[in-house]
Amino acid sequence: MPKKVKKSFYLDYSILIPYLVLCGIGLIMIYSASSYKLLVNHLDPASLAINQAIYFVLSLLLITFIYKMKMKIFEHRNVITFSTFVIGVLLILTRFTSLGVVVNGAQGWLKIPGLGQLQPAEFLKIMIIWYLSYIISKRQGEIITNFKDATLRPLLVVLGLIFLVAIQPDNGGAAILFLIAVLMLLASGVNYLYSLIFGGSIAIGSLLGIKLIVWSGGKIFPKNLKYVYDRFAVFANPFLDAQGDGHQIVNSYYAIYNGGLFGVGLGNSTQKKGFLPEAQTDFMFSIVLEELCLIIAVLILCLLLFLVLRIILVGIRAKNPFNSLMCIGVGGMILIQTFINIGGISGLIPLTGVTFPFISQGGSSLLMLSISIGLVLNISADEKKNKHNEMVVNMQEITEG
Amino acid sequence: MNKHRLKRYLRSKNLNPVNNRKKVGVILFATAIGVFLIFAIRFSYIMMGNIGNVSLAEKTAELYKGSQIIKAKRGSILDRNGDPIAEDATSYSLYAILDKNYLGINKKKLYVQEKDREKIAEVLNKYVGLEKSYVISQLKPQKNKQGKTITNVEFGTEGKGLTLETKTNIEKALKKENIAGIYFTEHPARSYPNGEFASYLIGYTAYADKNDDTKGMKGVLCIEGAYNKQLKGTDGKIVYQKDSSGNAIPGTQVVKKEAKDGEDIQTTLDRNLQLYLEDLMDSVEEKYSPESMTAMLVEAKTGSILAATQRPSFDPVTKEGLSGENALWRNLLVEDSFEPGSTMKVFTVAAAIEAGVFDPNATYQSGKIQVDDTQISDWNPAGVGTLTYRQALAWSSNVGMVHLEEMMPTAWQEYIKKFGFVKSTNSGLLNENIGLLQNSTTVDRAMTAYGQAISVTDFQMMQGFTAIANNGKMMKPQYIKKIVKSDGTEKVYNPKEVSQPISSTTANQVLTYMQDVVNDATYGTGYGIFNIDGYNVSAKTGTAQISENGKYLDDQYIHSVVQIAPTEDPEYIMYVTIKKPTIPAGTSASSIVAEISNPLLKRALDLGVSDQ
Repeated sequence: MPKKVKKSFYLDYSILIPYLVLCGIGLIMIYSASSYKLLVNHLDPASLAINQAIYFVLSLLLITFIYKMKMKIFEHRNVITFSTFVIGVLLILTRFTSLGVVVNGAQGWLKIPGLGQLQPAEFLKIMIIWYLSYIISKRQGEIITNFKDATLRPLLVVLGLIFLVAIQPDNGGAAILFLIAVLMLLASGVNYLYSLIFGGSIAIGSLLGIKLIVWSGGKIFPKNLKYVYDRFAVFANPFLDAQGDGHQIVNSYYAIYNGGLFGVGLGNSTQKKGFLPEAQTDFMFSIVLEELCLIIAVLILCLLLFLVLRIILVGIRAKNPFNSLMCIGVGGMILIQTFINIGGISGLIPLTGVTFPFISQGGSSLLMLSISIGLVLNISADEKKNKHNEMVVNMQEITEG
Repeated sequence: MNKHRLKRYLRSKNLNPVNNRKKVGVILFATAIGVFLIFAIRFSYIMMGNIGNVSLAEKTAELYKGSQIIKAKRGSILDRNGDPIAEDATSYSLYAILDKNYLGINKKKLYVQEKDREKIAEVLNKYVGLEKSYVISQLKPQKNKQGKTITNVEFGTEGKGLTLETKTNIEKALKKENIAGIYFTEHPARSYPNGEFASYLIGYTAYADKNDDTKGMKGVLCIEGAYNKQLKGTDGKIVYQKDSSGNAIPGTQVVKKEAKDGEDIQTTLDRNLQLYLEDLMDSVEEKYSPESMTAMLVEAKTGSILAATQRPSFDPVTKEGLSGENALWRNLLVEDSFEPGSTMKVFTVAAAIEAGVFDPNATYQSGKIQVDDTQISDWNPAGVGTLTYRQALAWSSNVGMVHLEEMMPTAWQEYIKKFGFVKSTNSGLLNENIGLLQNSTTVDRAMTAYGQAISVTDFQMMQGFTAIANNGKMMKPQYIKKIVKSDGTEKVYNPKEVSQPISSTTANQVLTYMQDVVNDATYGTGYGIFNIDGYNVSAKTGTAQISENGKYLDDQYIHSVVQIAPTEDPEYIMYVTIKKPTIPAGTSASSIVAEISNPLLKRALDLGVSDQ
């Protein structure tokens, strides 16, 4: 019998350390970005940072808890069904009851008496990954032979949940969820060339679609969706309406420009002083660029990239299909969210109001990401342990043989 | 066919699910690297400072940096003793707020309430003179042409240009009654506390930009116009950093450029004499309605102008007189040239004495004289028989002057120049006229001896007279005593001797002969008219013909006088011209002129205003 090895032995530090560093940077930057406005409004300048720190501590506890659990539990049908059901109920409560709170025009927050507010759509991200990983891993054989039948039903469930987010209305959130679902299907094990063609088509199609919308002048939209077009028009040239719809992106440019190569110094941002709204959430990274400069911002991006790549790599190497899908899902999710956030604040794609992972302020987002990291750490350890055990078995066979 | 082949090809490349996923993972891996690379490039691009053709450097500067103009105070115009003639002020205009949403702390109603309308009308009637019914109708709720409710109303021209005093009175009266809703806006303004006061010498001011009173005032006409640059000063500039609502961040204000207040111009005018002169002019204008009039009182030894004015004139505050058909827009003292007539004879006699051709006791036959093809007559063509040349001046004989001119034909033409005619006095005022000399024929030249065929300005005449009054030394007529810069440094305008056309002896001799004008009972044209009790006066009258359309008018003249007093040591020169007055029966034109010149000169003599 192989000697029992403690689970902490398999802890993947190349995931944990980047995560901790990013969260640390986040806490500092949240304080920097939010304190001025809080002070001006006669509030405790550290309140948002402290709030985030509480969520961070909670996150660490969650990670520990998830890491300690056996992977088998996450592959248990009833656990997944129950979780999916809970998320669905929360989403319905958020949208259709008085427990839902409207922020920035979207009824996306759920008031939990005594605990504060949660954003169920955030948790749906990891839920979709988890749910689809489970279903797909169970149907690996059918994926090759009958992809449609294997994926249609779970896909409908997922689309239904995404629909509950879209009607909040949170288009940015729904788009991310949809992209995550698509990624899960592409990584399901289906012919990778199909994936490549399909994924490429989505990317090129989106680019052409944006061009078409801007070029159309908004005529293709019904009146009640006019605001969607406005976002695209302003995206094409934010300076057209620098005081109105282009206000945020223009001020994001100013922040990035102010920072330059060397930055204005931590705490010295001008743009956070009322010029750039949502400084500590959607435009967190603009403030990072302004205060800490391009070089450090790129280093932070590299750290995040390293984390994403590392997670994907665990996914690529994983033997267990569920583990592999989970990791590719989580890595893809972080990548998608980063792409939509950074793309938005740098004017590459239309703004959607998505936060920057780990660094932007937001309890739900951090909790969800931490849960994801916890799962990935567990998977990484699980895979290592299996490999280790295999080796031990092989060695025993060799010695015995 | 191709489709099938493609499908087949794709199928042939199919792997097992695990390997397919691995490939997807690798693709995702590569995509992540690509995406992050694009971000880094995009950030670098933005950092370079241009998005399309928009410069972020310019935009951020616009966003963060504000500036504010510090208005320079326009310099004052003062009289010789430092009393203000024109100074910067603020004017106020009334408005009422009718908007019912205009509430203060604790929902205090700050708009005009219905119950207060009557009382407000009373107050505005009392202090501004507005019709009560007009005020009440203005205060009722109204809609504009677009059908929107009007939120604030003004009260026409009468509700504008109010003084601080009026504003304070209204505010006090309303506060006593606890009435809200009446407010004032401030406008830069220039006050002229003396009203109509040497208006065409001082000038007036208007908004530099009609549509934007924050641009301040600019001078128009005369001193305000000619010295606008010195008076207006230079505006300063404050730069500051703006917060997100565009307000200055406290402590960031930096004075980029100090405002430099305008320079004060102290004139040579004497406020009391000037006011007196304006009164005298008003009364004569009213009584005899002349087409125009000018009057100047000058210090004999320095050329300093103590009082000077003209009619028509204007009020620099109300601008009355600057519009309508009587509006002149011309400073008659320097811009208008006219044939002076007999007052010119003073210079003819002076030139003859200086040229050595004048024998006061030599005689000639008065009445007429033939010059080439033209007969020149005295004002009384019958003449008064034989006259001495001294009497010729007193009686204002044209014939006598022509004789003198014929004795010094070349010299006289030179003396015309020496006395400063047909030359600028360099007054510094706008559009100065230098006059015209017509001397191509013998007749023309003869006529110049009695003030025709030559046109002059008041300033030129006055300058010439200083040579007679000041021992032969001709002084430039000056209206500025000194200019004081905002830092206190002064530029003093000392009396300026232009030249000395005649000797002291000649000058005094002319003064003696000019006394005959008022003292010679037989021949003096100003006898009993231009005398001033208690002082010896030298004078010369003038009744100049007016040339219009190439012909001299018959019954209309420019009546004028020059008085120099006291004869023994002249202190003042008074010069008055009245064009085309309506002369009532039994009144002489000279007495009308004397109604202005005598009282003013006497007051100056009595008060001893002169610095000498």
